[in-house]
Amino acid sequence: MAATEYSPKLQALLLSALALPGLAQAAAREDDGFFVVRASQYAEDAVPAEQLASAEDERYDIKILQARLSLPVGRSFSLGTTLAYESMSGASPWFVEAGDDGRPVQVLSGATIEDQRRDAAVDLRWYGGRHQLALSAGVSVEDDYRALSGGLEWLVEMPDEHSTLNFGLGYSDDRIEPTEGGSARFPTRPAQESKSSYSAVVGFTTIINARSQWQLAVSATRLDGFLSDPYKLASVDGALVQDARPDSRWQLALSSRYRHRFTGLDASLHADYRYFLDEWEVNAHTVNLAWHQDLGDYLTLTPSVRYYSQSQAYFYQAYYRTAREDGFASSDYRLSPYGAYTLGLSLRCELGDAAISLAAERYDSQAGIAAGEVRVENPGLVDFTLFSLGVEYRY
Amino acid sequence: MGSPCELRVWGCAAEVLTAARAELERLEAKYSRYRDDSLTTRINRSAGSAALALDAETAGLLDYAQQAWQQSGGRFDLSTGVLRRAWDFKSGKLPDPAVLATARACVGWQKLEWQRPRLRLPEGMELDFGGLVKEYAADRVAALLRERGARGGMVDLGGDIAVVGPQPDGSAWRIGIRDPRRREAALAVIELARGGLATSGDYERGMSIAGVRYSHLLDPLSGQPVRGAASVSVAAPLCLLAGTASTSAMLMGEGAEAWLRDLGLPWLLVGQDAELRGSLGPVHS
Repeated sequence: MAATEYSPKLQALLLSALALPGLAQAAAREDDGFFVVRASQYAEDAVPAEQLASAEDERYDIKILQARLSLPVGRSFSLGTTLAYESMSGASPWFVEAGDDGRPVQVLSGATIEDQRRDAAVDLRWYGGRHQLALSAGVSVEDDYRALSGGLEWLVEMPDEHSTLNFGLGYSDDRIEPTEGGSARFPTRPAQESKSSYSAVVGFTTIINARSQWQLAVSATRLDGFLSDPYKLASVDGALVQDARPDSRWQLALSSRYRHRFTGLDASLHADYRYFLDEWEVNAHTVNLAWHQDLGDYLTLTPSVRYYSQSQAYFYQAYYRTAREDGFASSDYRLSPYGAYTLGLSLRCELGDAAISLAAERYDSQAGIAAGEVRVENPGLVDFTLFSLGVEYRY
Repeated sequence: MGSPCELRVWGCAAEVLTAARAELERLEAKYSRYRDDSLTTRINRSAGSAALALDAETAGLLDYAQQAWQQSGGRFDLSTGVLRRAWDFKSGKLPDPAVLATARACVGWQKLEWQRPRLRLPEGMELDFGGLVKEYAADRVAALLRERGARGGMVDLGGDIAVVGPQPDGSAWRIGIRDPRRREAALAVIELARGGLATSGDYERGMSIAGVRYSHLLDPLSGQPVRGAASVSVAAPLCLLAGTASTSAMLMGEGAEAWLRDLGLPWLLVGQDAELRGSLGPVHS
């Protein structure tokens, strides 16, 4: 049921039907088979000249191809597989240094990086009365990187038949062998490193009434090992040192998702909020609003807006005048304080068992729109445009 | 349930069937409008007086009915039954215009006051849960059978079907859609592996006057018989949804196909000319 996309009219009816005693369970096993392919083009804006100190100004372009196939197996199982291929090219932020006026300027990696990423994952789900169990395993490979992951999920419908609890556990083991690590050209770059991550999630979903549904989830993640970026440097008192971060990180996230159907308007509102905090003192808020408007029999137009704001990691600085006592140093824009907004528009066309969707997203990040005050903006903050085309088929 | 019921089930103990039967009898006793002691009768007797506080199951059915009324543009309406006071299909006569006008004044979901869990029916209005209880019962019984260990089966309440699970050999159930004009013949056979199937049609109880056929299906908006498909079958994740989709389609006349396509569920429409249209298959004529 969760996997298939229904027409908005049917979704509204189904939501009301599922609020009836006994019917959530009756419909719970209606996971039909489906196949989805999506192609996306992700393009980062060039770094503005006044914030740049290198000749290279072009950042990443990524082409992404994803496919998912889900098959019912017998009455009690479904088997899914997800494949993804990404082809990346461009330059990425290398280090930040002080410009002539003391303002930080970005230096991008000199040569154009070309890399490919291949992901494959399988999942098996078992449906037994009020319970569902799912096992998943995946592998992700790049030229310099490979990750193995596994997960377990347990879903149980509460006796009131309006609510569901879910519990999940995840594990990932990542190994990185940085290009030219330990070479004469990059002597400080590590040759081989690894990290592992353990995560747990608890979620609660409830049907509030025939038109509304709410989900609350809490997740915790523990990362251990090499958590620095081997390709990044930091400028400390004019000298360049390898990006160095603590070797463990606790992360906690709380998320709330609310869905409301406005029957008179033939539309649904999706309102989501997420709060994130971690051991590195990064606090982040995400608010996402999407309005799914039906246009006639076949089309749904969805404008969306997302706001994101985070505080900086405690050891982050755009550049360092003196070395920290703990030896940590990172000028990664992803650990800097900033805010970002995303504007999105997608159009979905349903034709019987098939659907086509087109989506565009524009992402802009700036220190100026962060929720808190930011004194120095990281010059490497990214802006990007994303286009995607998806085709799906249910059977 | 006022129509032939069939229960096919395998892989569970015999006493499970007793539980299934008890569930059907419970719903019949609670929602039948022909029984003096049913909740439906109590609700209808309360028309014109104070609001009635209803139990969670009935409140859920009314919430669903309201949603179906909205989504179907007012075609699916539990208050339509009053029109039968004006239309007597056994009489072979058209209704008296004054009687019909009075009846129409008592039809329309928008006229009743539904604030979960309280319902107030205005004077003269009546509710008939017949438009959804049979489908709901099929879904509930199928869920009950599965929960009690049934490995496969099918609940058929007079053509409203909910699948418990596949046939013992693992194959889907084959269900005949009967010919609206020749009752014993199957017009098409479709395969149903899961979910539900419901068929609505003007199989019976209509009348012909001076060569014009009046179907027993009455449009709550106009108060007049609908001229549309001979029958509509819909498959859905739940029999309840299938029933709402097919009933509303029958009441939409010319608009039936657009409604069915909009829902995106597999459907089969039999036209007055016995022509078959739709995406529900495979179809064997």
